[in-house]
Amino acid sequence: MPVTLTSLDDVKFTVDKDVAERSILIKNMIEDVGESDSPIPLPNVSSAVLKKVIEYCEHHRNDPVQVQDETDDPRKRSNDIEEWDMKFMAVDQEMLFEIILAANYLDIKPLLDVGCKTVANIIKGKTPEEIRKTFNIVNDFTPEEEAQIKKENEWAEDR
Amino acid sequence: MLHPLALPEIIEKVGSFLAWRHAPDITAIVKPSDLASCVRVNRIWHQTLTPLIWTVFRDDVAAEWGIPADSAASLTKHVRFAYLSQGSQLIPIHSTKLRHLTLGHQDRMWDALNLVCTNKQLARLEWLAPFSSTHSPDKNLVRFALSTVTSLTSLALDCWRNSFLDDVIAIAQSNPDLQSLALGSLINLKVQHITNPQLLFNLTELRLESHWGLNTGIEFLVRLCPRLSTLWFRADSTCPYSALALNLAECCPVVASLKCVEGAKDAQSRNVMCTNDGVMCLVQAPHFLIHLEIPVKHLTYDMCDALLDQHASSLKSIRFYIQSADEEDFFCVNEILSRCLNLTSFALNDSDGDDCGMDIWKQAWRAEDICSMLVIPWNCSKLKTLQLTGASPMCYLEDDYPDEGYFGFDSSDEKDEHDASDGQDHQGSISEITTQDMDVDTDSQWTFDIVMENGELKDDQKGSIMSDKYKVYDPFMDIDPTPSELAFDIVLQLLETDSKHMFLGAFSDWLECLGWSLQTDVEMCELAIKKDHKHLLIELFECVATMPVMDQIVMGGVKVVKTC
Repeated sequence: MPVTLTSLDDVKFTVDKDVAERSILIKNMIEDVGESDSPIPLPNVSSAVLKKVIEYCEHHRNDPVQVQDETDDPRKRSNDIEEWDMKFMAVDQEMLFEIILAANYLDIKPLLDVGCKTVANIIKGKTPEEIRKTFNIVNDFTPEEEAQIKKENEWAEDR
Repeated sequence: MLHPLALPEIIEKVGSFLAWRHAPDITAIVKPSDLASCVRVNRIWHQTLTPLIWTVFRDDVAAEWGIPADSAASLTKHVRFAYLSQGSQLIPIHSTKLRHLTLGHQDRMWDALNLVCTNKQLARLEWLAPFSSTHSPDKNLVRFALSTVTSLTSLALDCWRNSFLDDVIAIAQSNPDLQSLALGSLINLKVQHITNPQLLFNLTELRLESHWGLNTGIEFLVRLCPRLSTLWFRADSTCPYSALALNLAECCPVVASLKCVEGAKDAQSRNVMCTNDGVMCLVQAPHFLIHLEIPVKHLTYDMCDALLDQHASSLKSIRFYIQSADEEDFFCVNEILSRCLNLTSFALNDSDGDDCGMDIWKQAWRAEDICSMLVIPWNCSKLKTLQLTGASPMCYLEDDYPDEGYFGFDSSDEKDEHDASDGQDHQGSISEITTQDMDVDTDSQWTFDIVMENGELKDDQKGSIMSDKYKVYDPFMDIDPTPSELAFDIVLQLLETDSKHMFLGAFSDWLECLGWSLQTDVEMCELAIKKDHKHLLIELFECVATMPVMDQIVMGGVKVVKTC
């Protein structure tokens, strides 16, 4: 049964129910409301981003549901991004951030993971100043704080 | 737009992918240098990501990395996975939210007791050697500490001496979610009357690594695990195979994996081998066996029948460590590959070390024996990996071809070789060799005479090249040979005429046509395929080429992977 999603800018998208339910938020909304033809409003997601999110969900519609065990050793976590996802995430930074925010809001864990892995890969090898510049982040440390933190974590830097 | 990298939950998730580089080997640990940069970006990043730097703590690297003890002490509250194996306490761990704890040093007993007692939520505990010959703390203290943890899903106790089996059972029973229990190198575990034999309902994996003779009766534990699916056991001559098999048969209806705890090297060095009777006894215990991994001296027909009569349809992975192999072993392998329709992985490892099978210099199994595994057609269409580590097709050029000199190899050299030939015909028939030397199924008759002149096949000879398996170029039919067929012809030509390493190159080319890639370095010019292994390789890979999902084969120094 198809489901209609309405974006922030009032654009309607009709998708299969199993695709829409890759979003836990949407899945819960459908369960709460029951069978209905009414469109589901997504006021936090623009049409451009929703289109990308739907594209991702359709591609991954048959993927098994991820279950993350908190007891898992984090060293076993994989940072690999499969090829399709890598191409999917080859977007400008603004779109990347919007996808991350949308995935977070819609509770689509795999998409959020891919987005965050993409950001992590951008960060790798960069100095703090380079990270700030890349993502337009303001440094709010005092010089003394910054020196203290640098000293505390010197051991973790590559030599 | 809200900046996602200002939200703590997003920052933390990004940081989680920077925290620890994926290190399959626990020794290959990498500094969290990217995180160290991130915590200096701004305050929210510092606050959110500092705990991640400390999530995993290993004291063996703490000293190496020069982690300052004074500033680190307060930060260890963030540790969730602690591995403490060093004698001296460089940085005390103050975490009360540990998830994993590995305690490996006797001298840290009070630290160990304290950490266990203050971390009731522990999910995984490995406690090695609290009781050694020189250090025996009050067992009551240890028992008390262990009684405080009730959320364990995995428990490993190693080098415990003079304990009681019911103590171990009591610890397991006080952790109702326990799924995995490993008992290693116990000594003198006493089995008294079990006062309260409550079942361990969630235990699915049991690992009994201790010497059976020093811990008589430990196999009783199996009876308490009705949902046991995997049993790891020490496979030596003192193993109570009958009792173990009886316990499995009577009490473990879903056990599907039987695996020995030793790898190939241990099997050889400690002379740990399952007896034939032991194997036959054990493999008949499960209702359906899916995974089997055991060391044996030889594969025998009786053993094979005992295994396959009951489990041919369920087996998915098999690994044998064998001391030596002859024709009978490989006939048994053939039987397995023809009867186990669901098999996805098969390995025959010689017990001379090297589980990876890439050691090309070891003593090899005989090619003519290995060919016995090709007699009956294989029916394991789901087979993905095949490993024969005792097969070593490679040799030094000078070993097998002592009269030949050194030649550098590239394709132009091959052409030059032919062009520079003295025009003599190179004729060869392999049918005799097929029947006499290999003694394999002779239904497939490869008979051909190859006549070459100046590197080209003579026109009137082209039509005479025949093969049951390959319909090659026939000018009268005007059918062009496929690249695979042409490559195969070159391989066959070089089978007898080649006296150098060019066979390896031709073999590699042929494999490429079939969609496989030879991982062995073809341009290591001092290497060659042993003469007696050439036929074996051709026969084997012709067979393998028909396996729809096979993607890797390892034979000594020859590793072949599927590329398409």
